[in-house]
Amino acid sequence: MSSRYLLAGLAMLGCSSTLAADLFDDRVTLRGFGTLGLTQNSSDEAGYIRDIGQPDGPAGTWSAHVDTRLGLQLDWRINDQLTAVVQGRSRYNYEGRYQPELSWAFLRYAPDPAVQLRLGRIGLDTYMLSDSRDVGYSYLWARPPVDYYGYRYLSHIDGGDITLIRPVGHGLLWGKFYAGVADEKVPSALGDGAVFDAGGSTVIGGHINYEWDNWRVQLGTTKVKHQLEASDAYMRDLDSLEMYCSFSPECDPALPEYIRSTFDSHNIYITSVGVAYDRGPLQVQAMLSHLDRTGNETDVDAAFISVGYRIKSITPYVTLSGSRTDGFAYRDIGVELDGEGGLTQQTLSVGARYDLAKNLALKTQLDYLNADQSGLLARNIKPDWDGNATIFSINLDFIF
Amino acid sequence: MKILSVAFLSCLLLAGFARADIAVVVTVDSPLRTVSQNDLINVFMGRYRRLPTGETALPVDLSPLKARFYRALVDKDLAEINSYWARLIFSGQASPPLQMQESDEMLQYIRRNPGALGYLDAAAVPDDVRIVLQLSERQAP
Repeated sequence: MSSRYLLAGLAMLGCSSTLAADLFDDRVTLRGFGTLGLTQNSSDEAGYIRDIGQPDGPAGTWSAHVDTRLGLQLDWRINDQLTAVVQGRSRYNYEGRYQPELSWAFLRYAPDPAVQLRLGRIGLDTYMLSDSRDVGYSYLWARPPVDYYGYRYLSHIDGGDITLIRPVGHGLLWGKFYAGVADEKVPSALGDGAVFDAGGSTVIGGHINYEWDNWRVQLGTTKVKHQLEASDAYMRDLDSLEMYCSFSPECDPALPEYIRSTFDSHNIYITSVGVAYDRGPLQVQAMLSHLDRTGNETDVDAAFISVGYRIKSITPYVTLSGSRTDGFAYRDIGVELDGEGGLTQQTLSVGARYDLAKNLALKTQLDYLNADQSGLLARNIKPDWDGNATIFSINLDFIF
Repeated sequence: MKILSVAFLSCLLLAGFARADIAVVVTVDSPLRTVSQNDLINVFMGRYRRLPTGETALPVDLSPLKARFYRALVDKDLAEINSYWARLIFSGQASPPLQMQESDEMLQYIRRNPGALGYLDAAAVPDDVRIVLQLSERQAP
């Protein structure tokens, strides 16, 4: 039932064997992308998720939900300067359903090759590749490195961006600046089925890039005025918990206090640097980011490096990624558990992409994951989890 | 005998040369005389579509020759080019070059549009278009 949209979409895809259909004299183009994924997690003590937008994940089992997704995009070239783009996407969402959502809907205006304006619902590319995370066909991995991209769940903003390009020296210098309001939901990390609304969070930022020969370097900074809203029922439950904890010795008042603090509006500052080297069959990417929040315990430093080398139609790759927080003792927030909350984990991934036909790629990937603090990127964690998991994935990525 | 074998060898070399080149062409009406490989990469990879003459570039891909062209231009095969464009298209950043099946169709488009850039086998370039760059297929950048 929950996957009926996706199945309908895939059935549609099967019917129309024509690829990237041009309609109305080439002015309107319909295209799509998708992934059929199967993921197995060796550990039955923690659910593996791809990003914090997913409410649950496989633990000791196989799952098709981690990577499977489908997107459809309509490009309407109104004239040489103006294009309208609408994209819908279906993926395992915050409620564990495949309900389609509007990922982009914007007008792109390029009065000149050096200037581009977009207005409407646009992809948020705080980091290199972050606005193409759903398009598995566009990268080597089964999914973008989870330690780096996994806790960034805002994929789009309602607002605008401007891109300015100019040749400098031997290369191109370009910058993009964006501002807008988020409209996204995220499931509770506690596995209680609650959904929080980040709509109304404001985002402003940009990045500067220099591209020359086989290199690209990006420096970016973004400020998010983050706000999260829970349902009235959830807030009433929280009030009751607060009451109960104020007199019961079994409950530490620090717990409801901590939960309530997650709904405080606060500023998040993100800075990042990315380097990509791409020469013939060799692809190297390295990124580093710092996320600064009120209080040092949950500031996140994250990084990854990935190297791939194409040999005919097979590209083996290896990726090392990690994220670090100072963390906090669970007991400090009133949870009767040893250990620390936070987001310190690292992953070694090895895999291969096989381009088996036009617009069709098969990937297999093995991830060796080790978590020291498993705050956000695993679900339904058992208290005795040793922090280790081996993830095996086999994905089919396509575009049409 | 010696002269003959030299002639034979030159013939072989010339034949190899002719087969191994791709000509990047514009209409003879275009003010563009020459374009660097770097500029051509910017135009065809959707990074910056302004020609040295100041005009907006309108790149055209010719399907039968596409694999050879991108191999010569950036040493990549079509799966990698498609994967590259998947990122730009589905993030809504840029549109790929126009795709054309027939060289006649492409030549007509080039004749009509001074900013249009296409490519042909160097051995089959008609008189009314100008070669602005010859890409050798034997050496990658």
